[in-house]
Amino acid sequence: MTQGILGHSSGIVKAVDHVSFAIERGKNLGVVGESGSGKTTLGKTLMRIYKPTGGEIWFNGEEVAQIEGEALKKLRRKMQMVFQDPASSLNPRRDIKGIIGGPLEVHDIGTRAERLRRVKELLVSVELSEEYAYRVPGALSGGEKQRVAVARALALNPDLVVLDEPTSSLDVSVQAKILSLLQRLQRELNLTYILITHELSVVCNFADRVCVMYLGELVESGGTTEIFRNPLHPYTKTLLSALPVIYDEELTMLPKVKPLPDSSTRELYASTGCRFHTRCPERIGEECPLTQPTMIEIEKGHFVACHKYS
Amino acid sequence: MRWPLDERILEVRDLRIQFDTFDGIAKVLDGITFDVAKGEVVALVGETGCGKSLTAKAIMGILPPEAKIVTGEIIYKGIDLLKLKEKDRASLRGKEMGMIPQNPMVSLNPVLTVRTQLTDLINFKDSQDVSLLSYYLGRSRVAEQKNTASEATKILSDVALDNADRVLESYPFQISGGMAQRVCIAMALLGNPSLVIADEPGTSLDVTIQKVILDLLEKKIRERGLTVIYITHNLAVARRSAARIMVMYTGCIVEIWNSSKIFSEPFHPYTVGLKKAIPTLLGTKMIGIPGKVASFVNAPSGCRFHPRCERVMEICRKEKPPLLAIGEGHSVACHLWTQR
Repeated sequence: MTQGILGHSSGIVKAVDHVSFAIERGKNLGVVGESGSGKTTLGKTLMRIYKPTGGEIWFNGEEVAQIEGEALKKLRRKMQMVFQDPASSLNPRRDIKGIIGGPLEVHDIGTRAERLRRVKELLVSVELSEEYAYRVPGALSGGEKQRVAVARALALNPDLVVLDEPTSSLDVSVQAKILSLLQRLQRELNLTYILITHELSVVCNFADRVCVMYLGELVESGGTTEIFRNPLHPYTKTLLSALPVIYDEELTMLPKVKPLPDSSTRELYASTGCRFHTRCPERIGEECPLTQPTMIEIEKGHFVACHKYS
Repeated sequence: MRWPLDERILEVRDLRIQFDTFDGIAKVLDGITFDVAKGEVVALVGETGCGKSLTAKAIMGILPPEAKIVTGEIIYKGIDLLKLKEKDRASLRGKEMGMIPQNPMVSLNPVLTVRTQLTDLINFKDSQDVSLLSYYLGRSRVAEQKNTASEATKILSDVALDNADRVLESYPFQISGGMAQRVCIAMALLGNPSLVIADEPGTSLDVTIQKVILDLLEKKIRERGLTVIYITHNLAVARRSAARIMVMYTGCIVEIWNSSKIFSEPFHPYTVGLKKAIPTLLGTKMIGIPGKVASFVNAPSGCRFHPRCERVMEICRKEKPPLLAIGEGHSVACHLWTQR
């Protein structure tokens, strides 16, 4: 999938700007960034929850950025999303069978009895017992709610699932269980995941490729091991050096970068040039505030957008 | 671990707190015991709902009215706080012990500017009950205001807020999370406390800002010789910020050890479970802990962790294991030790 500019109609905020990347079936892509990076907007745009203002999205050989109506509805069956915060993404006034069965109803699939059967099948696949079908979200724990959200995403047998911070609100022991569930389902159902998260240590264990975003732009992308081993963009290095880790062996793997000044005068977007330049510890000179760096391939599969390398 | 008497700044002894709920009595804290020595930085870690925030509130004396302290002692510099009258307790808050609350954006008053909130603290921190009249009279004393204005700027520069004036003029919604966190830190340190409790510092912040805040806290701790209790569910933050870690599970402390050792050689099966679940950069597989967190209302008998424990024995279902020392600075509440 490749994608270009997304801007809201007021023309001021370029939430996602010139982002391009590709993923193969069965592989996982991690999209990392902090708040305001545009990663959730990117995820929702890929899902066509938002319509991109420019660029292309190629899905299974078909360009889908601007499709509407029936074609869009058909597309929706092939790509699904698990949203951040399970508590607010499940309708509190419906029961679990209504929530998981919702997509089936919308797409007119099966009879009521068949849908119930499918819901129970899905509950079992996310390791919840069938009787959960009759409960309501308010009675479930965070981990259970997230499993329901995953079951709902799988109801239509999608090819691609976008996971938006799926474990950020969960405790570490629950997170581990949800991630292994996702990995098992991937193997069984031949799924492809895009994992949107700010947690680098999770990405390290889950994604084959990583895209690093900063204020709407893609600053670096490449294989996960490569990015962790040899981060190129100053922002990637800063992100890695800020990661708190448990073991000293991990500490030696991380770059040591001086902490950034706060974006305290939060000019959300540097009006010209690289969006990171006002906080960049490795600014090289006049180039940085003037022109936006373009994405260059430094090594095979490892791309970076930074004037240091051009 | 028992420090010599004069080095202990805080001793918590067998603290038990419960709540009456619709479904029955929730025995939330079930005998919490620990010491903190002067100048130490410790972390109280545990997953959601284990009671760590409640412990912090008990120490500060800001428990919700429904909380019932069944038994226990909280001894601060030799005084049992639970035996004090509220007004004596209140005089300690802010001046002897300060708290940096969770989620700073939400903790600041949204309808007052930062300047007002800070100067109110500066002007009135030594008073007990401030009547409306004395409050407004106090605010209108211009000379005092001039003094507090410069003090406010100084206080904010002390927490590395360079554009202090801009922050002072703002309402909380106009400043970033990182700035709000610094303001809360400044407010907690205003009264020159000896003990500071930091409740999930950095949890609501981006990781790069979190690092800046944690580094700032470390600097202040060093400069002022503070004793700090970090409350967090983020084990990596606990590891990097604290010298000693106390692991809590469902209202009980299950293990206490140095942060440099506890994850390399955990003893308690829950700590072992946490270790196996943590995502690392080393390619280790993340494995969860089977089962669900125990309820406080019908808590499991004996050891509260026993239904999820890989190494459960018959005695675990019957008797709660006491927290015992098993080595230098290392304590554990587990029958694997009592029955060795």
